[in-house]
Formats: sequence, C-alpha cells, structure tokens
Amino acid sequence: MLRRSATVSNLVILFFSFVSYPLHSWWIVSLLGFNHLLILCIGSKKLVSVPILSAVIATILLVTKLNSIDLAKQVWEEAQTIPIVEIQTKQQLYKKSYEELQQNPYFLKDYAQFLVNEQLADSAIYLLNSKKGNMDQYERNLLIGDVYNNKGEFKNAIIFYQNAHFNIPNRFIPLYQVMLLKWKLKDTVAVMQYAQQISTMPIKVPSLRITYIKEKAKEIIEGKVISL
Amino acid sequence: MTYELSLITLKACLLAGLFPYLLYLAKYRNSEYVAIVLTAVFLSVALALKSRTAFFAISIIYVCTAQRQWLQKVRVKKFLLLLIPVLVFFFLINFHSTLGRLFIWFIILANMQDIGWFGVGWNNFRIHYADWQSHYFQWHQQWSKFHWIANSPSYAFNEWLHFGVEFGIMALLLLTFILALNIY
Repeated sequence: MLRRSATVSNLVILFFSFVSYPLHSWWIVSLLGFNHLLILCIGSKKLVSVPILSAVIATILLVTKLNSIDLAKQVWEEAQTIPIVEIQTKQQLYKKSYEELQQNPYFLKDYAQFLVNEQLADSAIYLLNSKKGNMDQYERNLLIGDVYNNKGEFKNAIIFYQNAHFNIPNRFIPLYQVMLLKWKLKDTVAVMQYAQQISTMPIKVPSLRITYIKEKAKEIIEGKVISL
Repeated sequence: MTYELSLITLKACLLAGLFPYLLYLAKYRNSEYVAIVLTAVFLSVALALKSRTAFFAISIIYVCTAQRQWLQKVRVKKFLLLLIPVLVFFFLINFHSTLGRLFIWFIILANMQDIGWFGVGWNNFRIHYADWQSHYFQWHQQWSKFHWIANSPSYAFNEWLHFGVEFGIMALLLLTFILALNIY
C-alpha cells in the first residue's frame, strides 16, 4: 500500500511533467527521489529509515537555502525603496543580493534597469550578456535597446527594439520606441508605417501608457504631430 | 532549477504529489470519512490555485484508490468514455493557456533540426526558444491568434521537450529511464 502511494506520487509528477515544469523545482525533485528511495527500500524494514532520513535532510537543506534567498530578497526590496539620488548605496545593495538572486529573471531585469537608468552602460551590457540565459529575452532586448538609445546609437537601438517586437509581437513598447527613433532619424515613411501598425494592433492588457501610445500613433496618421 | 515555491504550478504539483501519502494514512486508519474530507480539502486548494492538472490528478487518485470497488463495477470503456468529456472540459476551461502551450510545443517541434544529439546546452532554452519564436513571427507577420497569446517563456511546459532541447536525445532517454523505474 505504501509502495503504491509512492508509485502514484511519482506518476502524478510524471503527469505534471507533460504539461508543466515540475522537474525544475528542487522540492519536487526531492519528492521524486524520496519516492524512488522508498520503493527501493520498502522490502526491508530496517532500510525504510533511509528515505525518511534523506527526506528530513533534504527538507532542512532546502529550507536553509530558501531562507538565504528570502534574506537576499529583503535586501533587494530595500534597494528598490532607496531614493535614486543615493546611487552608491543602491548599487551596493543590488550587488549584495546579486549572489543569491542571479538566477531570478525579475531581479536581473530590475538590476539591469537600474544600471540603464543611471547611464552605467558598460555595467548594464556586461550584466545583460553574462546573464543572458537567465533573463527574459524580450526584456533583455528592450534594455539593450535602451542602452544604445541613451548612447545615441539609434540604428543599433532599433535592431534590439525590433528583436523585442518579434519576441512578443503583442507588446506596444518596442514598436513605439522604433517609431520614436525613426522620427529622430527623420524617416517619415517608416514613422507612418509604424504608426499604422500601432493603431491597428489589438490591445491585450489595457493601460494608460498604451492609450497614450495609440493616441500618438493616431495623431501621426492624421498629421497633427509636429514633434515627438 | 528553483528553490522557491512561489510558482503556482510547483505548489500544485507538490500538493498532488503528497496527496497519495495522506490518502494512504487515511486508508491505514481505515477511515473513509477522513479520506473524503482530505480529498475535498485538496480539491479546494487545487481550485484556489487554479491548477487544472492538480484538480484532475487528485480526482483520479481518489477514484482509483479510495473508490476501487466502484471502479471495478464500471467497465474500462465506460470509464474512458466518462474521462474524455472531462479532459475536453479541462482543455477548454482556460483555452488561451492551453493554446499558448500548444504553440510553444509547435515552435520547438518545428525547430528540432537545430537541437542535435546533445542539445543546445544547459540554461540555454530561453535564448534559443526566443530566437525560434522571433523567426516564426518574422515570417508570419499577419496578425493571428498566436500573436495574441505569444509570450517569452522560460520553460517548454513539457519536461521531455525542455530536456530534449537543452540536453539532446541522449538526456531524453536517460529521463525516460529514470521515470520508467516506476513501472518495474
């Protein structure tokens, strides 16, 4: 009966693995390992203590790791609340939480965003390239586009904004950024094309920003805009 | 690999994975009432987490373990006939989510030739998948349902495909072997 429970538990994880990503969690991998150990040791009464002891050790290790991640998250939250004028303190706190959170895409995005906003282009590019595999590729392209945009390298910025657009074509920001840069480069034909694309694109998640972008695009089409 | 349990799907999987043990304890104490209450509680949590997979898994486990006598009375054909509309219902209940997953699988399968025997490498799924999806949308610019549901996923939502992409066919065989150990 206990053996059947372990098998059923494994089958549940197997079922989840077809539609989700359970094997990317140490908790679920530990449960899978525990189930297998239990199945192997179930014949011998003495050996049943092995999987139970392993489960206890694994849980202690995971809880310890989770605690250190929570502490790093608190430091990250503190970094977010510090005013922008205290750049040094803010950066130190980001660096402090980096070790534990370097695989967290939300942290990486926030840290890179901070570096981009503070015009620390080299650090931002280094972070965005070294942690490429841990980042959301849409956000990464958008941030690299921002770096080049800040540096005045508009053609490079356009390439990355366009990459972001093709990553997730239902987002408005990359298209709007390309439209703005085309305006700066005085490419009026392209500006009109992007304005048309923005005005006809359906809205997935309504927001004030999107309403503003749509209105701007409409004004461009109607020829009401003198400068962007 | 994550240490955190903030993701709903992981919580749901852990919940459904622990359920057989609690059902075992209820059966061990020979308490039908406890088993029913436990199932109701677990199903409620699965509903609260909005996890269709967990809800389905818990229901099936309960029917197959606690209600074996009923199951023996019903023929396999009848049981499967009951199961099909339930599966269709679960498929349709959150159609965009299902379609999103099907789209991810379609993109991966369409780019199988880039994966090779040893895959694209650990932690490289995001990079390669984003390239494949971008490529698809560059060639299909006419607005469709896929443009609407597209996102930037970190996982393939199918471990076999995910491991296949990152580590190649060899790793897929290894994973199959590990999970097949259940059957011995």
